[in-house]
Amino acid sequence: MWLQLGSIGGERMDSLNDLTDEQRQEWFPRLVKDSYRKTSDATEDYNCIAWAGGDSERKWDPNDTDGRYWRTDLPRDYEVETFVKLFKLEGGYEPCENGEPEEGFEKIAIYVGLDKEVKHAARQQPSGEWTSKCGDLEDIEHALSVLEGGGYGWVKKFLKRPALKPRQN
Amino acid sequence: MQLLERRKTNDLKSGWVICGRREDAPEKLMPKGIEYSRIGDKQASIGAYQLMREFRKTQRWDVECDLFSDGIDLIEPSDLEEEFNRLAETWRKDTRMLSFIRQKAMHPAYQKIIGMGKEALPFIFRELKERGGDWIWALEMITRIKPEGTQSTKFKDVVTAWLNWGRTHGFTQ
Repeated sequence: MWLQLGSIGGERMDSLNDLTDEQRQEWFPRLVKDSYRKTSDATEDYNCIAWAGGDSERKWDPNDTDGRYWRTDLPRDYEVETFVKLFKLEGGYEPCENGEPEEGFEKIAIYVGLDKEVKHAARQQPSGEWTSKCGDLEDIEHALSVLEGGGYGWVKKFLKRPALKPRQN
Repeated sequence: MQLLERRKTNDLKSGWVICGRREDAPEKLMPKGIEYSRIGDKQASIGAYQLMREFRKTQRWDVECDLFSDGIDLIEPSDLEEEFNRLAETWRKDTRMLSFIRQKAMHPAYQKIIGMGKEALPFIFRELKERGGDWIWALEMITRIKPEGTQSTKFKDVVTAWLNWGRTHGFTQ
């Protein structure tokens, strides 16, 4: 082969544990060692929105770059209401008041940044804890507030639906 | 014309393009100008490198593969690769917690890599193959094409399609 390139240096950083103190402060100021539990390895196959919607094979993203899923009947923006419609159309979720566990219901929480755009979503587990996919990093179980106050912003919307479908975790 | 020096690319830590032409290489297939570059001569090396890239575009892959493996060794200007590595590492570190490609692609390091243009493609394909990362936006911006198989909603399928394209066009093995 006429063009051969050597491997580059630098180790792969694919865990919340690898964040620098500065990044932790900026992105997850409430995330401390025992405030979450890692439930999967890092993967780029799906993102937080897809994970909240029950899809672990695609990235749900309004951007039209190849390799992501978005409904053609929704605007390609990051408004909260667009994501409310997304979860309604994809999973039958309806807005609700809070993230308290309700027998027979599944819930989703939508995080919104200071710029009023959606940054993250989490799904409630039967235990009442929440599960999140953090960017390209791992899935974790956590309390909602653990991911608030930094780059993901704050939970601004709750959705729920009857817990009819079995979940994959 | 004699070969100036032949070294494996991954042995080279610094320096510029090293290329030459073996005496038995078919002269009619060699782009004019390549034989004038030499080790340590930055401008000549870059010139030879650019000539080579232009030459590659006009050749069918099976021809150029034979030609280059028989005739010359070519090494990327090392500072470009170092700059790419530095930018890629910064981008990866700063955006690994983000979920949307728009946020990731707007990072200044990612934009600088796109600004490198086609020269960045070998490095992007190497990165995509060895470490992953959402390089699809950058590939679309730089190449302005959507190769066969990339119109999928599954990220991993699109990565596979791009790597196939990169292999076909000589950017990765």
